[in-house]
Parts: sequence; structure tokens; C-alpha cells
Amino acid sequence: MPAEMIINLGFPIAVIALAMITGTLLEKRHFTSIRRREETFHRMPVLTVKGYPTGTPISKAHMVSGSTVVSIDYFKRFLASLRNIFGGEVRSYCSLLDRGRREAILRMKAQDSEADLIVNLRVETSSVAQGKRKQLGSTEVLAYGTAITFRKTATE
Amino acid sequence: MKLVNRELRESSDASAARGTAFKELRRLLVYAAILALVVYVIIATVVDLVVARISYETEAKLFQSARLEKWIPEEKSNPRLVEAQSILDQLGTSPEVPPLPYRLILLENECPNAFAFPGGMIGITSGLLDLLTEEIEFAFVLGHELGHFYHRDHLRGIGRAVGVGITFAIIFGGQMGSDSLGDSVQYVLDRRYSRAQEDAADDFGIALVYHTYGRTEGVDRLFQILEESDSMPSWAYMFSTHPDPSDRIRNLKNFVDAMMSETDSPAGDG
Repeated sequence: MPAEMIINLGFPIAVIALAMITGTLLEKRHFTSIRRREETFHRMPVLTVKGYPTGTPISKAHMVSGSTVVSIDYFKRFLASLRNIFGGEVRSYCSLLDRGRREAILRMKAQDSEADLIVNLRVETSSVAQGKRKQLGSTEVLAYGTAITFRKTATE
Repeated sequence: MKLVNRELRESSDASAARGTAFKELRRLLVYAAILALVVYVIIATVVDLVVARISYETEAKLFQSARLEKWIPEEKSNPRLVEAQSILDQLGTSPEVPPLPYRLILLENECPNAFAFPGGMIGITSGLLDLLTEEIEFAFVLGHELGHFYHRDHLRGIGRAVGVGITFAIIFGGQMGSDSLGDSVQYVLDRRYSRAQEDAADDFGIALVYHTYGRTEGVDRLFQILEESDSMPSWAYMFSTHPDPSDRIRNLKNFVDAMMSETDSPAGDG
């Protein structure tokens, strides 16, 4: 009897505990990396306006995009499934989507690191379903916009 | 248009919910524990109320159609099983035994155990059948299972399992990340019978043996055998359905002593 119980109960708990350790570590590393790259790119503003600042000569304008797929882990899913019963903010998914959005924007910026600014930013999120029951397996975030490079003038 | 670049601050993590996972886990586990407790208490209470209203005739009728023996080959060839069935028939005539159509079936399993199924069927494993030698040991094992029928433990066990199963299906219904987790929680919740129920069944069994045979010597030998063949460490009994054999021997001795002194007193009706 205890052996059966260890398999039935212990295995899922072990998987969740493992996911808790790996998921937390990976998320911490990812956020550290995001913060570091945000620092390096922080001189490239990203705007949601459709137009661009007129009166400044432009040398280059083209679309840039960046996307990422971040997977849920068992621990986050466990927390979210408990949240499904009681209601409230699903915080374990908040951090996941935040990572996805910021990573996608960073990759978009990295596509043209020489650009002066990016306008008309759009961010789209879609879920990549997995399994028979179409559970949320991972989230895909796509960020795209128009990268603009101003013509260098003598005064600059 | 003048663009001002500001240094990044903590505000960039505003929607990240960083570092809240363990707090969240703790809070949700407390909620879940409270919910499980409340739901289980409600189910147990409802089942006990319903079971108390089911008569033995209704029980026999109810489970007659769902006969398990259709799936289990009849073992007429095993003389030990036939002997056990005749002991069961004899015990069944006792007035304190619930009037149900008792039938004994053999379950092919090395692990010594016996089960009470609704409707009067008792399953005995081949492992237990091999361990038993004397009539009084058979009588006690069967008496113990009859005790479960007397206390309606088998109906309660099934009622709780069904109730918990339905509740889990409603609550988790397809949302739970892993099915096995729900099953496991259910497994812990519906451990067939509690220790108190097992002790009560032991008491019923020993009283039945005493009233039928006029003695109880030989019953403790059964537990000594079980204790010797026991490979389970004593801490594991915390999670087990049956109490530690040495505890059961102690309980039985106490009960027999109490019963003897009752019988010896003039008020006793034997």
C-alpha cells in the first residue's frame, strides 16, 4: 500500500517540486538577462504612435519584428489550476507573459540595433495549446514595429 | 517631438509578479486544504446519513444485479475455500450477523488480505488462505469482515469513494494539469476503512468467535503469523488501512479480558 501511494502521490509532487526549482531558477536568469539587455537598448525608444516625428530627415525605415515562445512549467500550471478553483489573479502566468513580451520587444530591437527609434509597435500574444485537452502549454509573443534611422547631420 | 530617455527602474517589473510564487503556493495550499476538509466532512456526513437509512434487504437487492462473481471464476475445486465457506455459513446463522446472502470468493494475490464487498460478498486472497490453518482463525478473519458488514463500513467506503470522485470531477473537471494528482488525493482521502473501523471490526469478529466457539485461543496466533511475515516498517502503518499486528493483538487481549469479565459477572447473558 505505501509503495503504491508513493508512486501515485509522490511522483506528481516530485515533478512539481522539480519544476518549482528549475522554473524559478530559469525565470530568475531570464529576468536578469532581460534587465541587462533593456539597459543596453534603453536609448532606443519604442512608440505606439503610427507616424514618425516629421521635420527630421530619415535615412532608413523598415519593419522589425521579434518573437518568442515561453513554456509553462508544471509548478506554474499547478498554481494556476488551484487559482482556477478559487479565482483571483493568476500570478504564475503574469510573470510568464511579462517575460514573453519583454523578450519579444528586445529581439525586435536587436533586429536593427542601429535604429534611432521604433514607431507603430504592436504586440500580439497567442497560446500554443498542447495535449488532448488543449491546455495552455506555452505562450507565443510577437512584437513588431517600424524602425526608423535619422539621417546624420553635421550638428550631431 | 522631444524624447526623453529615463533610466530603467523597478517599475519595469510592474506586471512581472516576480518572487511571488512561494507566497502564492502557500496561500493556495491553505485554501485547498480548507476546501478539501470541508468537502470531505460534508460527503462523509451525507454518506453516513444515507447509509443509516439503507436496510440489509435493500442492500442485498441493490447489489444483487451488480454481482462481481460473474467476473471471478468459481473455485469449487479448492477444498480450503469450501471449508471456509461452510464456516462462513455457520457464522452467518448467528443473530448479531446482518442477514445478507454471504458468499466467499478467492482473489489471486500473494498479499494476505480480505475484503468486504457490498451485497454480502467476501473476498479472501490466496495469500491469506495459505496462512490460515485452524478453523478458529478462519472464523476470526470472516468475523472481522462480517463486522465491516455490521458497521456498514463497506457501504460507507463505496459512498465516500463515489462522492469524492464526483466532487473531484466537478472541481477539477479537465482543468487539472495532471490527472494523477487528483487521483492521488482521492486515494489518500478514501483509504478504505479507518483504524477505528478496523478495530471495531476486530472486536465484532472476536465477539462472534467467542459466542460461536466459546473460546478465543488461537486467534492471536494469526496476528503472530502476520507479524512474522510482515515486511512493512512500523512507521508505514500510519498510511496503512490496517493497524500494526502487535497493536491489534494488544487491542484484542484488552477486548477479550473485558468480555470475559462481563460474561463472568452474574448480569452477563453469555
